[in-house]
Amino acid sequence: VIVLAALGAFTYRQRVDDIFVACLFGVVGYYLKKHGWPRVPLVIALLLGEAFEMNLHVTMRLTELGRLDPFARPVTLVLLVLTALNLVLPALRRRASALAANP
Amino acid sequence: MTARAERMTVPVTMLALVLAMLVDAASLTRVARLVPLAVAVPTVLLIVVELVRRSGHAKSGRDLPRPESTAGVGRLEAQMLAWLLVLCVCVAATGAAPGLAVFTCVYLRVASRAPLPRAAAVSFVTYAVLHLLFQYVLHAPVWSGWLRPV
Repeated sequence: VIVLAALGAFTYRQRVDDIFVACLFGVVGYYLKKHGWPRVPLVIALLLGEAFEMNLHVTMRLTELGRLDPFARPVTLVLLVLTALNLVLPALRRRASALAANP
Repeated sequence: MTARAERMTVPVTMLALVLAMLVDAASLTRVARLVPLAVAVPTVLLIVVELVRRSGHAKSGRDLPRPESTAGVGRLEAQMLAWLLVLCVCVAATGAAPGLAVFTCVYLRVASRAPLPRAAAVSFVTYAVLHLLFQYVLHAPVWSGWLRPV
């Protein structure tokens, strides 16, 4: 498994340094798993982070130049509301279940 | 390392990564700096909220996803870390293909206690496959690193 993982890391850019980075992130992933921190957000951030940063930057520049008003678009508003709900709902659900357990 | 210090390893590492990203972004223009800031603020908030929640759980004695505290786990972790270091040294010394083959041989011989002929055979097959892969598919140099033949 280690050999295949190292080979996979190498073939991406054909650089030996990537094998060291893979080892480092293997250790980080182990500690994340051991202490119950979710690994999926980190992986998603690593995969989508670049596209997210670039598009956020472009949107901010266009907004600054007055070419785009993201808050006037229904899709953006819906996505923002969903994001906010995603952040708030787990806490609300925990509180509701705690109240149900100890009325 | 105490259990508390070990529990703090992950959040401290994550906060250090965020801080490194912010320091790296210091050289950007004012508008460009807002992007890493927009990423960093929710990340730090979520980590801190989670830490507060966990410390609250720990004080109230409720169950948490706690680390495995079986005896010998630390020794296994140290062994695994040592093997990863051996892999890194092998790869840095000779390059990916020979390094992986040498690592396979050493690992099979020492950790799995395989007989030398079997370890050598597996390593040879590994090297042969990697050599062909590097030479004809990846078009990458097979040997590199400090010990590459001139």
